[in-house]
Amino acid sequence: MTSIRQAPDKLSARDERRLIAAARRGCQQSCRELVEAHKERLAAFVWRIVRNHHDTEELCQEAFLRAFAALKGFSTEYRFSTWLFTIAYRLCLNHIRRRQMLSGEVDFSLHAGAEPDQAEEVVQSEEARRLKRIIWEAVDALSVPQRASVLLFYREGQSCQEIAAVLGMPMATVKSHLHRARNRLREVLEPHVTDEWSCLRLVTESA
Amino acid sequence: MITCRQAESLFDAYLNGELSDALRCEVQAHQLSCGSCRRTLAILQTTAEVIARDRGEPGLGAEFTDRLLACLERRETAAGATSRRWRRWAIGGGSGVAAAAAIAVSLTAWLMWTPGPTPADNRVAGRIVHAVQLYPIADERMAGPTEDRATLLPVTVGYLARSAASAYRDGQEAINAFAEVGQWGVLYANQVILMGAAEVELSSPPIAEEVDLEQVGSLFELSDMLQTSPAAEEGLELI
Repeated sequence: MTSIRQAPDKLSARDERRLIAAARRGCQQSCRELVEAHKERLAAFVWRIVRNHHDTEELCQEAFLRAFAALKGFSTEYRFSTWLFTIAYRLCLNHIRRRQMLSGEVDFSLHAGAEPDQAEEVVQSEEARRLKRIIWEAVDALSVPQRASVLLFYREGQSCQEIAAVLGMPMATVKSHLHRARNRLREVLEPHVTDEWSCLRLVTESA
Repeated sequence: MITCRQAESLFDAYLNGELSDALRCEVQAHQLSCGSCRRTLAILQTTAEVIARDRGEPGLGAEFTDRLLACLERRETAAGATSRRWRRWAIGGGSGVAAAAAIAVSLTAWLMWTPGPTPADNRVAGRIVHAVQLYPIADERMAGPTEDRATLLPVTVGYLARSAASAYRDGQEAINAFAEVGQWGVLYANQVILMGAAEVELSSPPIAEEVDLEQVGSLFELSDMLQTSPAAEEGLELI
């Protein structure tokens, strides 16, 4: 199962410590390397939470700025990505709350994002695309903590303990979120699956 | 051989990679002989595969890193200017009250930027109160015409600082709410409460003084403002 999970950090722990030490001394190139190593993964996570491209850029920028502003106090005992995602998640929650207060509703529009690449669409089977769309719609419908737990676990390859640190909740709560999210995703996908082997083959072939 | 019920109870731990080798083998052996459990696991694994590998999100623009580093440099420059001014006052270059204002704001800024509270932080946070002045903060995107700003309920810097101090005891989330205030502005005091800042009993009433403020970009800009505002001469209380 662990082979499915993604995203070992691009930087080794050693390189990361070196860059952080240099960034603390004001080395802009080191800051740049830290940003480049994390920005796309961070953006993917934030976008899946807030579902708006403009807001994603702003929130990612703010997350990096706060991380760099507090770099002197950061303990390299932890991975930079864990800390960065922690800050980003907090910003996302505040952003969502503010948006809810202003509009009175939560916008989970599935249209506020990139369209799939046209060439890629041609080669993917219709069934695989349909199942993927169903899965992502179900992920988007999860509560924010459930969605964040699932994304951090499978996309970022974080352990339940790391996820607990990012989300600011006990590990048992993270496991509960994962459990409920999986149940919900299974309920949604089950009626659409004819048999387990075709389902798995179709989706993994086009992944 | 485990039952379906037992296998299902182990699915989460199996997917989390937390099972011992023996139990993992039990689950794998069970699914070989049970079509229902095999199907369930296939669905869960398929879902995991899609979430892990499917990359349909829009990326950040090509200029993102350059913009970010430019913004970082501006903030660091502003922080350096504030720090130098504080040092000048601390050695008697300005009024004692103004120096205390700088200390309060700098300490609050330090609280905001520190990644997480330690017990020592909480003690300091609990003692920091500054009731400097009331000022209306208007978010450019929300306030509409300039004349509407006067009708906005004022938000006290002291209230926010106290909320932040209390929030440090309650969690990082509320501190970020306070940070949001400094960064984008806030419309109403109630919103600060709703955003998670805890209420703290006021030890002294705030002093009202409207400050003509275009936009609060950061606590450092706020700090600069406090140094020049006449209201900074009155009512500062550092506990």
